[in-house]
Amino acid sequence: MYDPNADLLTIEQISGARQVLQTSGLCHHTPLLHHVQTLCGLDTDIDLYLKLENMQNTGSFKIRGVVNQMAHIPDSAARGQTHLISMSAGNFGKAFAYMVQQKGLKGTVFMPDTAPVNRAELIKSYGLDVGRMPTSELQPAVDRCVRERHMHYLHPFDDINLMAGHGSVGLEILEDVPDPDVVVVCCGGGGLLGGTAAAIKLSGRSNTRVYGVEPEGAPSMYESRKAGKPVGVQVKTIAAGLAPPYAGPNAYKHNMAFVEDVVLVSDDEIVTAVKRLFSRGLVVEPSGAAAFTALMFGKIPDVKGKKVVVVITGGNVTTQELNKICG
Amino acid sequence: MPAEEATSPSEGVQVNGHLEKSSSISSEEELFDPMCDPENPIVVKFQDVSAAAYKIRNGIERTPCTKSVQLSALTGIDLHFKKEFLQQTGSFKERGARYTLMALTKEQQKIGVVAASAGNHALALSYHGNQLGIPVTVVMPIIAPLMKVNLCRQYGGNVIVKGADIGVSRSHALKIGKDTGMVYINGYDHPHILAGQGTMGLEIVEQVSDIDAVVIPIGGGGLIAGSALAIKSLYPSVKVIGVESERCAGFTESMKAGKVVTVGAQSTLADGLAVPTVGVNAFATARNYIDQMVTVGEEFIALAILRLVEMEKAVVEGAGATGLAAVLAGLLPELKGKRVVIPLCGGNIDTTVLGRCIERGLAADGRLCRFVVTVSDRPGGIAELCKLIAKLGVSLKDIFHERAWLTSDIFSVQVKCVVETRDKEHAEQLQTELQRRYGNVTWGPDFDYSGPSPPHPLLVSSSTSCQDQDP
Repeated sequence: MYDPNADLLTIEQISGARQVLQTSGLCHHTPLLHHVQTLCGLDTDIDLYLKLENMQNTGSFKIRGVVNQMAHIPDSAARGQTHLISMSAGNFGKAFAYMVQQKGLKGTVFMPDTAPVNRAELIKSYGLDVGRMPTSELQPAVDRCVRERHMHYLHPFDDINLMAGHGSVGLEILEDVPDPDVVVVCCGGGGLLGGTAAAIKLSGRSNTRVYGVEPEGAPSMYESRKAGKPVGVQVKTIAAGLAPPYAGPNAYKHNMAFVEDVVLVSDDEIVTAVKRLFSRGLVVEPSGAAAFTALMFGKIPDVKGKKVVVVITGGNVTTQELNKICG
Repeated sequence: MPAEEATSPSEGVQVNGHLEKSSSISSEEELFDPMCDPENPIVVKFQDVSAAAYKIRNGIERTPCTKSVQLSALTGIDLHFKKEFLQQTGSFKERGARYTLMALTKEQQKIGVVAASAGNHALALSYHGNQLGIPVTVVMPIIAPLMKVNLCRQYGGNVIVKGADIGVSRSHALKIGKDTGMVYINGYDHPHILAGQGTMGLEIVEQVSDIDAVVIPIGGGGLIAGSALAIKSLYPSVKVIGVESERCAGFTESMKAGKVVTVGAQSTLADGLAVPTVGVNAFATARNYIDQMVTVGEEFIALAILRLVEMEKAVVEGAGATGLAAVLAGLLPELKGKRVVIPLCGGNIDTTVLGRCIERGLAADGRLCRFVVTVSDRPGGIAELCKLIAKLGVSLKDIFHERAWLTSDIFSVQVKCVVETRDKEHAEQLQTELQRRYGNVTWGPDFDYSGPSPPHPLLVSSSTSCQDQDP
């Protein structure tokens, strides 16, 4: 069951999640590029590392969280007696659909009717049922299915087991570069940021600064930090994967405990970053490029002479979409 | 339509077995309903409506169409309501359903019919199928409330719950039709449905004389198509006005485009009208008979529901109240002093939704108010606020105060109240008094939620709209 008031992650939970991922064989230890500041056209006095989650199975980091989330579903769901349900038009939906199919289970995904049809078709191609409806009807529809049809709901970004799975990114970073000064992570619902920051800080790296990056058009965590509690915002941005309408309460708690700050980038800046990365051989979706964007445009403080790790979170963008975005 | 990047999920990892085939219907052919063909729209004729009237006369209620004294006084219009919510299953849909069932051939009646609906069409078909001894199969999406599913089964329908949204259910229903020979009945566009709905129009002009205008809600367009046809054929001078929810204005857009177009449908109280693509036959039949189109906002639909409960003793669902909502919203000022008939199309409103509509209506009416003030945290701070409220004769419904996140002063506390006032003037009086005493007052529904559990900000206020959420 989704608990919005879960305790902060422990290092045991995150390492435990890492074990689950490794056993499953469904997640890779993705490449970490070393000293790529020149490659990426940045100042040479920044020692830049890129964590390439766009190379992850299913094209984004989401599979990490989903594998661990699925390892914690009730027995009836694991046996296929209870139907699984979630809502997402994006990378979570894809990873979720992939896992459901892997496990030979039954699943349903609700998505906003504003999402492109190809997203629905993609998830259907994994054998799941897809329902499209106005955004404001998603949560009530999920609630009704849980209540009346006894389905099991997997929260797409704020589940604590999901976050523990995402935290494996932090552990892998530390394995490849044990002493980073700065780590920059894209922030949507805040699950990856929270899990990764927790992993890094709880591994003893108290001096590493972890920053989150959000689009200006979807500043839910930024506003939550200002308000002192998780809040909802109106969202409109090209980085659709970073635009849930509210900051997850668990993610917010982890953000306040482990994250230095959250900075904002504009859609135009994101597009410039996507183009830059593409020209350097990396296919990165706008949501996945937000962290790099912040560094590129000087929004991360005190990086001169520092080891900076930037997480590239996903590459699920079609050539058509890239063309449209980049012009 | 093939998926853009619907590649196999293998992505370098060995997958057990092959990629499962999509569960949706892939063939274009199977999605085709021959009775609702955009290439060959059917224009229903007046004789179809009168034939329907004759055939269904013993099977449906000839509902009252009476003057509303209170609402006529309130609106300044000679207002009559055609009370279709009094039909057995609670909506006008029975007319079209019964006629369509009766118009089937004997062979078709033996095999039965199939439809996709979570609403009034499902109920109407199930009920009359049972009455007439014709098998009725209804496909409902998994998001349909269990109550509706059970009700249909109670009426005698064979309900199949399948599909994550109504579109998928429709595909399934069409497939069942193709596989079994059951006739697929589109609930707002089958020509016999249109003819059946038109019988309401016939009754209206028989029951009320010298009508100046009728105001008819539009979802798929079936009701207005049949009724406008009937009314204009007999009394061409009657003005026909169509009303849609502004959250789903498919007919308005289609009229503008000159052909049926699909619009986005947002969540609306008038859920029976949330049809993104109006019927092709309905559009072809109705477009030349409609004199004016208006769209109405949510708060007036809630207000109309409230007024109908309070002044007409009528429980009417959002869709059924849209006609009155348009009048209350001041969208039809030219109707003042005229004789107008408005159908109250259906009464199948969820009881919890009814409760919320009554609250929303009270809020729109200025009889239920929310505000936030900052008061002293010292003893007596809250008491003083309560005294102010009570002195004005305002009733306190709910009070919530919090300290932790106030940044101004540690001796202050933020208090959120929900109160009942007599009317808008009384509410304004309260607002003025609060402003005078406390300076900073946040008034109205759109302030930051700060309850104990995360909100569904999507639902906090009807004016919040969120796009592109894609975690």
